[in-house]
Amino acid sequence: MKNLFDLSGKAAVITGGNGGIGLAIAQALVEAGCAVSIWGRNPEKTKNAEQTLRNLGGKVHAAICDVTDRDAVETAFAEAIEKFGRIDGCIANAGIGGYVMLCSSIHYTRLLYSSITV
Amino acid sequence: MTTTLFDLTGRLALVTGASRGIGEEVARLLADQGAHVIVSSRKQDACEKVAESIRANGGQASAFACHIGELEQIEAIYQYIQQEHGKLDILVNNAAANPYYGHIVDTDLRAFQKTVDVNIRGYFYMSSNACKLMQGNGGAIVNVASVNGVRPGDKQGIYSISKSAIIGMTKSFALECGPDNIRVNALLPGLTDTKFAGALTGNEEVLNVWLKQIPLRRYAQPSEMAGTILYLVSDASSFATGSCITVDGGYLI
Ligand SMILES: NC(=O)c1ccc[n+]([C@@H]2O[C@H](COP(=O)([O-])OP(=O)(O)OC[C@H]3O[C@@H](n4cnc5c(N)ncnc54)[C@H](OP(=O)(O)O)[C@@H]3O)[C@@H](O)[C@H]2O)c1
Repeated sequence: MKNLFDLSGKAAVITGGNGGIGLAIAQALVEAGCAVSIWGRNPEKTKNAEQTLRNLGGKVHAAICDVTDRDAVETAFAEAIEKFGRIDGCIANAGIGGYVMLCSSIHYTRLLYSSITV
Repeated sequence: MTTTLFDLTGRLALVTGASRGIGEEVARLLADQGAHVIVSSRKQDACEKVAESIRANGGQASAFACHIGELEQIEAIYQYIQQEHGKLDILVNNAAANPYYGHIVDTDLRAFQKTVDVNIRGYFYMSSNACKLMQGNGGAIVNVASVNGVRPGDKQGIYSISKSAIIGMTKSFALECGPDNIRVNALLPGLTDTKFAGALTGNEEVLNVWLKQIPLRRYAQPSEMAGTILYLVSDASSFATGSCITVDGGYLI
């Protein structure tokens, strides 16, 4: 059987990978054989997600990383590459919702940053 | 790999234009994933060859000829499916005609009619018959349209028009058949190495004009279309309907 969707030996970063759609993406990638590096802001959520993925038999790296923080992004990437030796793909999934009309300018800047960094 | 998102075990799939090119690759891949595939095109012997080779590889396949421009032949294939299997899970509407190459103003009306009969009425009647069989169990239909349905091909007016119609048809069927859990999506291939595109890929001058417009700087192999169709007919795309996926090396950017 052809395995067009086999990701064995590959590694991917999933920002916002500790819950919701990001975690579902990470699970699907793990099930397809991919090593995953999940990044999130909330330590407890991130730890739980890491455990969930490990229970599926996945190779997992987890980082506490706010994608609006450039240094944190660079550190998380360096750790992931150190751990897996490669990164084949990046799912830029982290984003924050909010009513832009009601946002303070700081909030708006954060919103912009979280969409464009990575 | 433990993922079962793409597993088609127990599903019955009908692929038109499956005797060669994109359709043949699709038939082989769906059979690889466990589906029983009905290989169809106008020529029974050509379909039989593909079905035979799928069976020789351990897959399940049968052959049934059907000219999709002929209404009685469409009715006959559905009668066969109803009697033989009593159900249909997957339809890949892939066979199409492109009988005219020339300025749109000079379009020969017989070529116009043939294009409409095969590409529009054929896809439509194949879909409506499939949906009737799928009601109750749900199902997935993929219409092979073309990048020319979005950006018309020069001197391919009526063909491009028919491919735009197929994109519209995909959305209308998706809208009205969604409540029956029938998903309908379209694949828009770019230039692909088949007999169909031979006039373009076989002429160096024309080919170079095309390649300049394709960011990946090459045309596709038919097998590169099959993965997207597998995605669209499998549970991996269970919430996708009415969508059009372009696989064109970046041509439409
Ligand atoms: N190749 C490209 O560059 C390209 C680009 C965009 C879209 N497409 C689309 O991709 C689809 C497949 O084309 P392809 O490139 O794979 O072409 P192909 O290699 O020429 O194959 C066409 C298939 O359709 C069958 N067929 C033709 N007319 C038919 C009819 N009236 N009724 C039933 N079967 C018929 C042929 O078999 P018989 O002769 O035995 O009937 C053959 O199996 C078409 O919808 C085409 O518009 C192709």
